[in-house]
Amino acid sequence: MEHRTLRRDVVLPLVIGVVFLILGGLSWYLLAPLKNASFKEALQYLLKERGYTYTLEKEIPGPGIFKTYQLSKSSHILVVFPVLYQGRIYLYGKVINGEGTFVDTCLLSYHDTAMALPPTRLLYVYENRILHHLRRLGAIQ
Amino acid sequence: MSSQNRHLDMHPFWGYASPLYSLWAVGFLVFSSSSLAYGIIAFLDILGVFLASSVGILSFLYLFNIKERAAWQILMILVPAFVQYVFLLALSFISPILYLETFFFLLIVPFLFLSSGIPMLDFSFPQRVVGQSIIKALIVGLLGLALSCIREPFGHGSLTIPTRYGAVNFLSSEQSASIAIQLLASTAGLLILFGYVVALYRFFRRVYRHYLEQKEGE
Repeated sequence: MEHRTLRRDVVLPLVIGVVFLILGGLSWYLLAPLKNASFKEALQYLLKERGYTYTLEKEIPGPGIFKTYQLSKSSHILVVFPVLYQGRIYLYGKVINGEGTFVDTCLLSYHDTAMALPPTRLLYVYENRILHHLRRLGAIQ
Repeated sequence: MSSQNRHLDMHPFWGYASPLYSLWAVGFLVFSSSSLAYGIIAFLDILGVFLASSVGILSFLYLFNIKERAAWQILMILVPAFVQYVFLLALSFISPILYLETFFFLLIVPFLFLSSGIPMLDFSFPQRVVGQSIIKALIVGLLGLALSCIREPFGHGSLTIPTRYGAVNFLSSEQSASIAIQLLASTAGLLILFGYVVALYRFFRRVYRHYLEQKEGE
């Protein structure tokens, strides 16, 4: 390959890609603790507002749409996820014990009596995905 | 092709690359117009990403004097993706709950930038590139806001605003919810509504083209 072609087609795009990767990685590394604290604070506020007594202990980091938290003073885990229903996005939380049994469902989004909520059968669809996600993280057996 | 017709085809609103002509933003509009709160977030996001991306790409091209096509193409992908990442990071600090509710459809925005026709423009005219980016972002953002102002009140009987703790209803009652046309709130409802908007747009485009042809004939 000619030197100029190599520079034009391989080296320069690679350098630009690496620069962006470093920028993204660095900002992620520096800001991730602040971001997680912000999520935890907001979710704790919502739990309290909606009348739930759960206290978030620490986040179990993992990929995907699920945000997973260990609950304090128990082996329970709270998984928060968005549910799309009739053009609205509802934020739900599922509480699971250490054996992988669902013990509670929390609606975290703001709602009033006028709003149509997603049917229970729609939430069942998420349960298998949550269990699969937690097994992958090693949070349950 | 006459000069008037060429002018019409290259126009950011009436031209071939318009979001109402080539429909490159329909997927994004399905989600962003579902409620006013999401519409406002989506409007800010698309305007910010389009503007910052075009300015960012132009800065790279001029600062480092990049002329190679491969490097230029990778900039077109990386700059909007990075700007979107920064926006989502900021949103996760300002309103973590709204971030959780909206991030999966806001991730489409860098792809919208690529399919909007902006990368095909001549980047040796920076004012034109920035101008077109703003106009295209405004068209999609305002269309999303307008559709959400129809879909949410008529489909759910309520209106929401973005807050630190998610989308909060500020207008809602059981009476309005009971008479709401729920079909409008669904994806199918948006597509029906959007079909009427596009039909109207095409009618007015034909009228405008006819007017331009008559003007040129005189």
